[in-house]
Formats: sequence, C-alpha cells, structure tokens
Amino acid sequence: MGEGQTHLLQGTLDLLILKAIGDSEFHGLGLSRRIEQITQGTFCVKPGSLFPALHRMEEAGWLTSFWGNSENNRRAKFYRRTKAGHRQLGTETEEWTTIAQAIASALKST
Amino acid sequence: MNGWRRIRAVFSTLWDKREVENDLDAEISAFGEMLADEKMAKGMTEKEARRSTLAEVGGLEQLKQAVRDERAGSGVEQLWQDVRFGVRQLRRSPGFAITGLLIIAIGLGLTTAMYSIVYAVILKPLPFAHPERLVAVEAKPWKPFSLPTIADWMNGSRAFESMSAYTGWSPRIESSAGVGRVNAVLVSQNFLSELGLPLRLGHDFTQSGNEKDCFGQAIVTERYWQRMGGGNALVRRTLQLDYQTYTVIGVVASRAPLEDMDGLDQPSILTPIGCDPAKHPDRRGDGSFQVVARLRPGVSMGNALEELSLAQKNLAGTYPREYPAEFSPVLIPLNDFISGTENRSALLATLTACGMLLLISCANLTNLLLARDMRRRSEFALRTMLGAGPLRIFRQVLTENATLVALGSILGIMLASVLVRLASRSKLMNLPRLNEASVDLRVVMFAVALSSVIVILLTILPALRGRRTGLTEDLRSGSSSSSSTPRGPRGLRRAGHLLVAAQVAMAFVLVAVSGWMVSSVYILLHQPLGFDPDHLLFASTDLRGPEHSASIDPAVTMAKLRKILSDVSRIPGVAEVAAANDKPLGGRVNQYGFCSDVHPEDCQRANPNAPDVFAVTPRYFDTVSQMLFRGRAFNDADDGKDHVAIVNRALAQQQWPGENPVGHRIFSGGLNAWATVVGEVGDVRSYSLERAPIPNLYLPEADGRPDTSMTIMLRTVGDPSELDETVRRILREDAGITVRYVESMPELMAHAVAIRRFFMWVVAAFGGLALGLATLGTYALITYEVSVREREIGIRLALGSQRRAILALLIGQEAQWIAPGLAAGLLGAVLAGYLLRAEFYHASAASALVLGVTFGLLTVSALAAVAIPGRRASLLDPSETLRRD
Repeated sequence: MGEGQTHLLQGTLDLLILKAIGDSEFHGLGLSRRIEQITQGTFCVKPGSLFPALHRMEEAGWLTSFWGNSENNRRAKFYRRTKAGHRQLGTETEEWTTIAQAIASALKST
Repeated sequence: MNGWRRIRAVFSTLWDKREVENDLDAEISAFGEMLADEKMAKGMTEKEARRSTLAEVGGLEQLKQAVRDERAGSGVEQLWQDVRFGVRQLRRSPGFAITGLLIIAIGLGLTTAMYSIVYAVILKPLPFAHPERLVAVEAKPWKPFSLPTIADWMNGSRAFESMSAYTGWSPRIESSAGVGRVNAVLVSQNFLSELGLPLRLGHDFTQSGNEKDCFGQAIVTERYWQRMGGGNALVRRTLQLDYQTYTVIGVVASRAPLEDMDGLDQPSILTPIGCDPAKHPDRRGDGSFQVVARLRPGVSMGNALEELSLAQKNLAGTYPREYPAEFSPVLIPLNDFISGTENRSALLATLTACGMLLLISCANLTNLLLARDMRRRSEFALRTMLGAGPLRIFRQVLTENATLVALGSILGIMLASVLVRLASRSKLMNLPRLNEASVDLRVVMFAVALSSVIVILLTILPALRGRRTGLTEDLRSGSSSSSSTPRGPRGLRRAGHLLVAAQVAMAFVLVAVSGWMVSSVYILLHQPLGFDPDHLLFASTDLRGPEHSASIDPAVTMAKLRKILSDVSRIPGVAEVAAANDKPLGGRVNQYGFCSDVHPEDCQRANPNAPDVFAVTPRYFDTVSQMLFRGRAFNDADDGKDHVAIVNRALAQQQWPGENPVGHRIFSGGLNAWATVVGEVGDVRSYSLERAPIPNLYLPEADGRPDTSMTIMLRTVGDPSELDETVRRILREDAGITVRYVESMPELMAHAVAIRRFFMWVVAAFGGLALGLATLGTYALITYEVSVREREIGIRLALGSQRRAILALLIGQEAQWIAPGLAAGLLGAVLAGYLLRAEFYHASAASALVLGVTFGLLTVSALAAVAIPGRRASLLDPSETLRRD
C-alpha cells in the first residue's frame, strides 16, 4: 500500500464496493480504479481483498456477474448490483452514518 | 446471507466445481492481463509490466486460493478434498495404513470395551428411585444385624428416611416351573417401597408393621415369572417354599440388580422375613440381616454416619452385653456396595492399563507419522509454493490424520462391541451388572471423543516440530534422504526419541503390573492350604426329606448320613469318605458363643474372637488330608455321651499359647455344653484362598442336634470329575435327601480365582502388547535414524571406523534416551504397585523379582531393537552409500 493511502476500515469494503459500482457495471480492475477515484486515492483496494469480497457478495446475492468485453477488447467478468445489493447499500450507509456521527461527536467533545 | 442462498452457493461450489473453477481462472487471468495492459499503456515494456503485475498481486495462484477460501462451502470442499487425498495417501502406502489402522483399532477398541464395562458395573446409576440417597450399612467388626438393632438405629437418628433389612434364603421350591432349590430373599416389609423397585404386576407386601407376619405372600422376579409360564394375570398363581404354600402377589420388573447384593445369589423370590421360621425378628441376638437405608434429601453421608454412630453408642450403653465397645457402623453408597470395592479398583486399574496402552499406541503412531512427514517435506514445500498457507497445510495434515483415526475408530468400535458381547456372556467374569454392558450411544460418544483426542495428539507434535525449516532448503534437498537440513530432522528425531522413551516407561509399568498379577494367581493356587485339594470331590446335600419337613429327628438324620457315607464309600475309585457342614474354602460361617477353661468370662459377653465351628464325621481329617498334630481324630464312639472337641493350631495358640491343648476344656454354644479337647489339627483356609486361616473348632456331627446341611467329601484315586456322575446318581437314588451340587475341589479353586485370572490375562495381554509395541517403536525409530545417517556412517567407515565401534556408538546414543525411560518406568511401576497393592495377593514377596525381570525384559528387547538395525548399518558398504547422493 502506497503512501498517502489509509488502511480500509474493517467492514467498509462491502459498502465501498456497493457504492462505487453504482448502477453501472465493472470488472475487477475497473472497480478497483473506480474506488481509488471516488475516494480521491485514499483507498487502494488490493486484488487479494477485492476478488474474495466480490465472490462473497455475489454469493450473498448483492451482485450478479456476467462475461463481457473490456474497453481493450479483453474478455472479462463484469459485476452489477442487484436489488438486494441496493437495499444492502441503504442499510450499510445508514449504519455507517450513525457510526461516523457518533465518532465525530465523540471527538468534538471536551 | 439468507439460508437458501447459502445452501445454493455451497452446492454450486461443490457440484459445478469445474465450471466455477474455470470461471475463476479466466477472471483472475483477465485481471492480470488488464493490469499489464494498463502498465504497458503507461510506457512499460511487456516484460516489465508482467513482472510488476505479479509483484503487485503477489501471485495469481494465491489470489485464486484467497477467493476459493472466501466462497461458501469452501470448507466442505477442502475437507472432502483432503479426505480423498488422505485416503489416497493411505492406499499409496498400505503397510503404513494397515499398521496405523490396527494400532488405533486395537488401542481404541480395548479402551472403549473396558469403558463400556466400567460404565455398566461402576458408573451407571442403579435403576432405583433416587439411587444417590441409598446407602448400605456395614459395621466393624461384624456385619449382619438384628432387626431390633436396626429399629433402634432408625429411632435414634433423623438422617434416614427409612431402613430396610434383607437376607438370603435357599428353600426348596415347588411351582409350575418345577421342583428344586431356589435362591430367595427374605425382606422387611418396607424393602420394595424404600428402593422404589418397580413392580410389573401386582402389589407390595401387606404392611402390617409386624415383621413376624408372613401372610404366605411371595413376589417373584420377572425371569422366574417367565419360567412359571408368564402372562399378565396373577389369579390363582401359587408356589410352595419348604412345603408351605405361598400366593404370588407381584412380579418385580427385571433389570433390578438384586442378584448382586451381598449375600444374594440371583434370587428369584422375595418373601417377608416372617416366612422363615428360623429367623427371629424380635430377638436382638438374631443378627442375620443386611441393611439398606435411604437418606433424607439433603443429608450428607458424613452427617448420617455421625448420627448413626451416636445412636449405636447409646445402644451399646443400654445393652453392653450385646455390643462390644468397638462395634461401629459404616456407610457405603449402595452403588459402590453393589459393584464391590475390589471389582472397582480392579476395573479402574484395567481401564488405566487400557489408557496407557492407547497412549503407547499413539506415541508409536506419532513416530511413524513423523518419519513419514520427513519423507513428505518436499511435497509440503511444493504445496506452499503453489499457494497453500501454513494453516492450509496444517488442515490438510489434520484431515489426513482424522481420516486414518476415523477409519481405525470404526474398526475399534466394532472390536469393542465384539469384546463386550464376549465379556458379558462369559461365565468367567462374575462381575455385578456386567450383563448390562453394551456398546450403546454413550459408549460410541466416548469412543468418538477419545478418537478426537488421538487426532489432536497425532497432529500436534509433528506440527510443532516439522514446520520450522526454510522452504527453499526443503525443496533443494528434494527427495534426497540425507540430513542436509540439520535443524529440522534433528528436532524431529529428538521428538521421536522422547516418544520412544515414553513408550519404554509405560511399557515398563504395564509389564510389571502384569507380572504382579501373574505371581498373585500363581501364589494363590500354589500356597499351602492346610489340606490336599487334589482328588477331592464334594457333594452339598440337604438331609431333610419331604416327610420330615417340620420336625427333624436327630437319630433319623444321623442314620441317613451314615447310609449315604457307606453307599458312597462302596463306589470303586473312592478312597476315603467323610462329611462336614462345610468344605474347606467354603465360606459358610457358624459362630456360637465360646470360651475356654482359662477365660470362662468370655462366655458372658458377645465374643468377637469366637472360632468358626465345624461339625464333622469321623475320618474327616484323613479324607481332606488335614494334619493331626496332637491327640486323636474323632471316631464312631464320639456320639455325644462325652462331649469332645478338636481345635486347630490357631485356636490352640489363641487360648493356650505354648501349651498342649489336649485335655483342656472349652464351652461352645453349638453344644450348649462344656467339652474336652481331644486333638489338635493344622490350620486350613476355611473361607477362601485369599483369607488366612483363623481359629476353628471341630465338633462331632453325632453330638447334639446334627446339622442337616452337610457336604459329603470324597477322596478319589483318579480324576475326581470322572466320579461326578456316579456320585450324583447314587445320591439321587436316596430319595430322602436333596443334592445341591457336586463339584471337585480343583474346579472350586479355579472358580475362586476366575476373576483374578481373567484380569491377569487381560493385564498380561496388555503387558505383552505394550512390550511388543515399545520394541517395535524403538526398532522403527532406529531403522529410520540409521537410514537418515547412512551418509555419516559411510564417512565414518570410510575414515577407518570399526564396525563394532559404529554399533557401540549407536547403542550408546540410544541408551541416553532409553535409560531415562527405564528409570521413569521403574518409578511408575513402584507407584502403580503401591496404588494397586490391594489387587495383588502376597505380591510383596515377588515384588523385587518382578521388577528385576521386567527391567531385564525391557532392556533386552530395547537393545535388540537397537542392535538389529545398528548391525545392518555397520555392514553398510561406504563406497555405495557415499556415492548415492
């Protein structure tokens, strides 16, 4: 992990993936770059974390996958968010907001 | 993740495996390509891009594995994979597989079988209501109690909910099941309700509150009920006991371990105490009852005993003539009382021996596994290269071992169920409740738990020892067996040596214990008994006939006895005939008030030193070959006109130490008169093989009221069992008597040591197995050691070392490990001998000898186990071993 990058908080990877994927579709590398982009380079998700997470989430029914062609015409596996994934994003966002506010208020006190 | 999705995912992982795997493969490699593409777009050459990609990802195989691990069902998938691999491994080396399976099957099978027996005999709760509150009451110095004593105990303490009394009875029975003698129990009226014995049919005895009442009521056991014809109706079912008619009022559900309570021998009938006219429920002197008590809820044994002792103290104050000052009651949990303390310790000792044997087996197997792991080091290294983490490899080894142990355990459980079935059917093992032993769910659970422990034991040591060396070293050393990586193999070998030392120590203990068991049985059977058991046949008879059921005429009894003796003496092959009210080693006790002319005051009180009294006919001492030291034996003139008696040496020493007893006078309650001592005979073991001779008094059968329960003793010329049938036939022709059983003395002695002999065989088998396993383990280790050190030995030989010196070197190095093992074993054996001293009969005499022999045996076998591979090593051709690598 390069400089200026932060360790991913435990349990936030799923949230990031669900958010990053939005309503479009990505292959693994694309998604990795997308996450880098939307977090302004703070998080760089390594393939060793990304791919297991993608497979796990697919099994959970939050993502579906299909084979397609990449921008350079390579066959790649693309992921898309499902309805369940969308719902999950809602839940996780809520949770995250609660935590973030709680932490923020805790830090602001005194 | 919801359940259904998860299940589907597991199935897709397992069933669409190939597809899933191809998918993953394509996905990951596409990812790699795209990453490289990206890098090349930034200006890297293709080669640089590929290398940089690999560095960033850290290996595509590892990545795939990480994904696989994450997938649901990956655990099941890997487990299945490992199990199949484990089975393949076993099939690839069938020698190892068969050895391993057998070691586990035997070790686990024996331990499981023993556990199942121990559970049934000792641990299983009695089938009574709240069995934990039931206690047996015993007392020192003597046990059976009278009913008034029991009633006073009950009134004098508050710790007991109830106390009931019982005693054995063997009347003649006549019922729809036939005519014969039956084992019955006389019980107090509250006996069944106190125990909470369930009745299958009918009702309890009439509770009149007076133990003298009989009401002609009988309750039969379910087994006897079946013999009587069974059925569900009690209407008009009667039977006769000693020519009195009884109504069957109930049937006790089976499985109640009544048969194993002290003094009872598989009773079929229960009747109230009042039914036996020979018992006197109201007399404080009629101490013939055993006691089972039920504690009140929440009362501890200690409190109960305290109260009972106090009650007894008060009682002794009120009746000083009835109870000696030292008389004190003892409480024993009924479960322990029924299993018997001797059986208890013998069984637990055998279970411990099983456990030790199992440990030895595990140590042995661990050694085998360590050696095999050494050979598989390069395989493990390769797996690590291909992406398996240390945990994954550990899991693989764990699964392989678990597969081996699971297969072995299945065999073991099968073996256990066969063994338990054999043991519970065997007549040899006369253990209480043994017939309840079976390999049931609980026992299988025990075996499963045990095998899990075995798997952990087998896996942990190699796991701790084996994974320390660098990967490259292992790969480089490849298939070569030389010790080019000194740290790992030496660590492994040290573990192996420790295991061998532990095996030697445990084998020492087992061999020593089996040696003591063997010497116990030998001494028991070969000690001086005071009589000659060979060629001795005896027939137990009842001289009361049908026509003399109520009143017995002494003259008629004597006439019958004389006729039998003369009939039997005419059988060809019979050298001597006599009769006594009990045979030697018989265990029947007749004690009466007693005193001698030097201590006449002994007759005024209960005398705990009173001798056992035997009624014998003339020629008795000749027949059993009991030594006559002084005076004369009885003859036909001793018919009660002048009271005469014969004492044994122990009684003479007790009463008239250093004097000639002949001419002294004694008083015996058996005669209710004073008698003159006319002879002194040797001491015999009258109770049992284990029990040393005690003072005995012999009176002529013809004096006073003759005993009607007589044992006819015959000394035969040839094998006594050949005359068995003839004697039986002749006695049966005599319609006036009942024959109970005919047996030869050697048979009786064999029965008496049967259980000891059984344990002896079990322990000896264990000792032998342990010795064999330990020797085999040592041999395997040294063989392996030598194979690893071939190169070193080759160099030594090439540099001019003598072959003898090589052997000495090997033996010397091994001795460093085996000697501490032997020392630890010696220590363990001494400790075991101390703990088990109750099991060994006169073992102290043989103690040092057994330890010495054990030491020699183990040393010799260990040396042989070292010397054989050592010699082979010293015969190596250096030019060949050095060229091999």
